This record gives sequence, C-alpha cells and structure tokens, in this order.
Amino acid sequence: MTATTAPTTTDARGDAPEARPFTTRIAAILRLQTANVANVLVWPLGVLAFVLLLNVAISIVIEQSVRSAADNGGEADITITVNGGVAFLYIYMLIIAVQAVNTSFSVALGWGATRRDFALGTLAFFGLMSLSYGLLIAVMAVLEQATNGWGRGLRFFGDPSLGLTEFGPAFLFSFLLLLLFMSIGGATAAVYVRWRATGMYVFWAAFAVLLVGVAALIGYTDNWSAVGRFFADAGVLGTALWTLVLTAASTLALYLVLRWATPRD
Amino acid sequence: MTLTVEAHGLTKRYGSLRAVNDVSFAIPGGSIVGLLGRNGAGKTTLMQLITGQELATSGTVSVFGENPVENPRAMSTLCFVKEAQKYPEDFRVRHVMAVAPRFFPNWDAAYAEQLVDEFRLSRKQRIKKLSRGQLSSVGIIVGLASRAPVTIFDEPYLGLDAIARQNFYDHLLADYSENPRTIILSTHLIDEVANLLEHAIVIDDGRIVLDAPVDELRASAVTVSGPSGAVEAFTADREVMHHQTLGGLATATVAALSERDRAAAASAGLEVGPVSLQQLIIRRSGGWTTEEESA
Repeated sequence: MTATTAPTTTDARGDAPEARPFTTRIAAILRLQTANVANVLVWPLGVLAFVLLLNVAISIVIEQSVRSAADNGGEADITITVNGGVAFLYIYMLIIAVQAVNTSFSVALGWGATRRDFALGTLAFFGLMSLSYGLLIAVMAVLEQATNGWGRGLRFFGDPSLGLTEFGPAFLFSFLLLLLFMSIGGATAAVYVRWRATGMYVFWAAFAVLLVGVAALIGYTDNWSAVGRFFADAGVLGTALWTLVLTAASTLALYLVLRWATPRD
Repeated sequence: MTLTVEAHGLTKRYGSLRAVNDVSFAIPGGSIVGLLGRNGAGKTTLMQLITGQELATSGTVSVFGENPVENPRAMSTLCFVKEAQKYPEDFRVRHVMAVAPRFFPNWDAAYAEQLVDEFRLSRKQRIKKLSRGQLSSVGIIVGLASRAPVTIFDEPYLGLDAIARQNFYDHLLADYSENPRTIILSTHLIDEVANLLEHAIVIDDGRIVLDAPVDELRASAVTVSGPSGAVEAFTADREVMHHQTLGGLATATVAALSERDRAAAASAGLEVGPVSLQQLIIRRSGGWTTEEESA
C-alpha cells in the first residue's frame, strides 16, 4: 500500500503542477478497475474450475449409468461431448464491463481523472481482460485436446465442430468475442451514466426497433438465405473477425458518450 | 497572492432552472473557504463546476488559471469528496486506500492508515455495508490524505457523530497548517466550522449573497446584552440586526462599536460580546434559514 508515484513537491499555493504523464494517468484507471482481484480473477476462475469439475463428474455418472444399463441388456448410447461451459465467461465479462463504467466513473472524476483518461483507461482494461482470458481459454483448449477432453471426451473450452481446438483459432475466437461483449457492456453502461433511466428506455427501444427493422427488411427482400450464406462463407473465425465492426462501433460510442457525461452520484 | 479558483459570470442552467446564476468569485491560494447555503441553493452544482464534473452553460471557471474541464493538469490538483460517493462494486475500505494513491501525487499513505484507525474503520469492510457515517469517514480520509492542492468537501460529515466530526475538524486544521492548500468546505453547520473558516461564500438561489473574510464578518457586528430597558435605550438610534428577549434580559445584535460606544455600553451595565458566525451570515444574507439553525 505505498504510493507508486514519488510525491511531487507541489506548492499548494503556487501554480498548477506539471501534468502527470499520460501513461501514469491510464495506469491509475487500470489500477482502479483491477483493484478488486476477487471480481476480476478469483470468481471467474473459481466458477470456471467448479463448472469444469462438475462436468467431468457428470460425464462419469452418465457413463456409469449407461454401462450398467447396457449390462442389464438395455439400449443406451448417450454421450455428451461438446459443452459450451466456458460461455458463462462472456456474460460475466459483459457484467464486469458494465460495472467498470457505471460505478467507477464518478470515483475517477472525483479523484481528478478526466473523462478522456477514464474512457481510454477503461478500454485498456477491456483489452487486458479479453487478452488474458482469451489466452487462458486457448491454453485450456490445447490442454483439452492433448488430454482427449480431460480424459472423458469432454469439450469445454474448444469446440472441434467450430474448429477451435488449436491455440491460434481458439485464442482469436475467444479474444474477439470477449472484446465484443465487454465493449457492448461498456457502451450500454455509458449511455446509462450519461442519460440515466431515460437513456436506457430510448436506447433499448431504438435497439428493438433496429432489430425488428433489419429482420423485416431481410424478410421483405427475401434475403435470409443470403444472410445464412454470408455466415457460412465467413466461417467461425471470419464471423468472429466481422464482430470487430460491432466492437469498434461500441468502443467509439463508449468514448463519445462518456466524453461529456456528468457524474450523478 | 495566487488565486487558485476563480469564476466569472459562471452560470449553469438545467432547463429553466438556474442552479448557478452569474456567479463570480476568487479564492486565494492557501485558505479554508466555507461554501454555505441552504439545500438546493446551488452549492453542489458550483462544486461540480469547479471540479470539471459539470459543464458551464456560460461564464468561466478556472483552477490555477486553467479551465478544469478535461484538463489533466488542472484536474490532477483537485480532490472532490462527494456527499454520497459511490464506489466500484464490492470495493472494500482497503481497495479505496490502495487505489487512491495512484490518483493523487501528494498522497500520504501513512497518514491515511492512521486516519483509518482513528475513524475506526476496518480495512476489510465492504463499502456497501458501511453506515452513512462510516461512508463519510472514507471520503474524509481520502480528502485529507490526498493533500490535493484544491480539496473540496461536499457536506463531508453526514451521519458522523459529534466526536467524529470534531476529529475531522481537528485533523483538517492540523493538516492544513502543516500542508497549506485550498480547502473548500460546503456545509450548513456553520457554527461548527466557524473556527476553521477563513473565508465565507454564501450562495442562495444560485447567486452569491455574501463573499467575505470571516474576520471581517466577525468584526462587523457585536451583541449587546443586559436588562431589556438598558438594551433598548442603548440601541434606540442604532440599526438592530437581531433582537431577542428572555424575561427581563435582552440581547441585540448591532454593527461594530467604537471604543467610546463600548465604554458607554459598559457604564450602562451592558455586556458586549461576539456574534455567532451563523447568526451573522443569516442576517447578512437576508434571513436565510435551515432546519439546523433552529437547533
């Protein structure tokens, strides 16, 4: 618990001190966002480990019951292989992103950060989290492949049908998706921070209208098959790469919306 | 003397409401300033404008000569302790003490630790579970230990008991004399902080109604008390700001007396005493009252 920046000799009655370096300011925001290790590390890893172990246990239970059914002359061939257990991480990170913007904005500004520094530091936090957890998922996918699905034929981290069993694809896919979820969460929270409940009503109404409108347009012009073809042609990684468009739009929205927001609490 | 905070024609409108209306003032560096006013008078909006949280509709505000809005240099001199600050989800006291130093170049970690103990906070406590007074304590600790050149407290004592409030005032004064800086304190407990304040700015309905050094205010009036008849005779040809009778005794608040007037008062068996800052401010700002004042 020591101050990492050497105390500058600021004569409180004199002129304004020199601005602190950009990196120091961004690092302060990163520290704010990562201070609660329980939320950014312990809980997600703990839940992940717990769910994985539970899945292994369930697969053992199923295998045993299948085997005993077969021993009794019954017919049973239930096998669970692919399991998207890791998907909870994406939702978890979306919530982390919402909180990072919603509850930290007011503190950071009260403590002398600018909106710009807060937005950039928070985006750096999204990047850092997506990178770390993307790497984790990729390493685990590789391990999963090497251990033949944790010895049980389970696919928790890397879905072979999506071609995500190798490090490269697994990392790219999860990194891009985490980034997408976090930036969407952050941008939505920014709308709330700036316009409160009114902003949420307008935002979700506009969002619903947009969704229905796009669906109607596609249906009206009889283009659903073209949409399906687009995703089929793009493939899993191609589609993941296309999310960068949404991620970039959300990131820009977060920055612009926070740029002139006023902390209300 | 350098001016740390200055405003010229500063106005903030919310729709048709002028929360801060054409306000101008200049706060000299190294002083403790009381920002006084009723609830809804515009105190918080004014502090939000000074700290770059809120954007002015018109007029200017400057901190160390610079507009604070989105200005890292001016902003890094500020610490704004808000009335009911929310902290990140699941933050504990220790998280606040670990993160705050990153924001304040002058942070004194040892002092912060000492204050955590003195205000009887547990480092493990979740901020969410803190009582109102404990939450106020966290803000006070950050404000004091930040040693920010411009530290602004918005009603910092809410929920604090008398002992904790006195502890805060004592620390504020002691730390201020060791590390001079500009401290702006918004409050309506005027008499409690009267001995701390060097300067008072009173805001009402978005406008500044009084802006004066506390010494000057104090010197501007006295109370004269004694038997009703004698008080009445003495004050007959004077402007009485305030008059109170209790049984056969009366107390009148009048403008400062000359030496001769004092002697005359003494020979008439009257006692001349200082006037309470709170009473004075209420009189000078046109009968402004809040519930606390009747207490």
